Amino acid sequence: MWRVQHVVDRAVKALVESDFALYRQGKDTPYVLIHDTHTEVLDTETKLRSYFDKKSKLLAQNRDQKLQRIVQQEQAIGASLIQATVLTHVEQNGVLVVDPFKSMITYRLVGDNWRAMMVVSPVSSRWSAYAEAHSLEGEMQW
Amino acid sequence: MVDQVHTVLEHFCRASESGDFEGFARRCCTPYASVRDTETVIFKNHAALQTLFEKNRAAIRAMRDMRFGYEILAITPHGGRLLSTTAILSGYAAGRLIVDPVTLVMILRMEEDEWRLAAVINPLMARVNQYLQEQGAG
Repeated sequence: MWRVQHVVDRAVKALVESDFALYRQGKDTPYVLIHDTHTEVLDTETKLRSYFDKKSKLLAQNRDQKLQRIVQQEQAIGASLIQATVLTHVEQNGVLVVDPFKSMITYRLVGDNWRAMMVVSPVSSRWSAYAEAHSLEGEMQW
Repeated sequence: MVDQVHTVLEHFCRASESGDFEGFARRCCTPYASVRDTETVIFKNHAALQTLFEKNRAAIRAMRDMRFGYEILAITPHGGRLLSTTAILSGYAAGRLIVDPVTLVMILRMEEDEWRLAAVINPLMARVNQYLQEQGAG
């Protein structure tokens, strides 16, 4: 079992249930999003909350879709950092809504908990494209 | 792609050793993120990069004009404009290894037709800080 799979699972649960307090347990600020055109820094609670609300709302608009995020690989970088490759599936009635896509997430050990610090996710991620094509509100940046 | 990543790291390391701030800054995106074992630090602009560079220069001098050695272990593309590279970085001074080889991950983005560092994942800061304190240069 990968060390951060439960952190990923918790974040998905938090998004699906719109539970920001749960989501916050697995994130730290500044939270850094590396896109293919720019870097976004969520360095305040307000920015992190706004980011969470957008993602959560997008999921709420598509209740019949099932989101799965699976850790495929972990690379320890020293004793207290992990870089994980996470595969995302979005299904609806057993059919993939978009092709699976990968993100790379960096976690730091804070106390006894792994917390996400940075995500590398090209803007061209397929779910973002899907959301745009279907005029869904918000961007799906992981 | 390997050659291009080598070029970036070569410029980055040699600019840091020689005090060439413009050469260093040219190879960095802004904001530039340093995800460390101790904290995450964001360098938002050119001035912040200069502060980082000067601090690093002082540390390099305190480490007896340390020089960097590196070896690229892996390069992973993320789409066409982002990649991550895993590299082993070491520090040498007077022919002696003074910073043990450490694995770093660097995130590079294609900007203006060249690869630039967008972020580094650095597990070394706790050790560096300890070393500098021992040297009275912290």
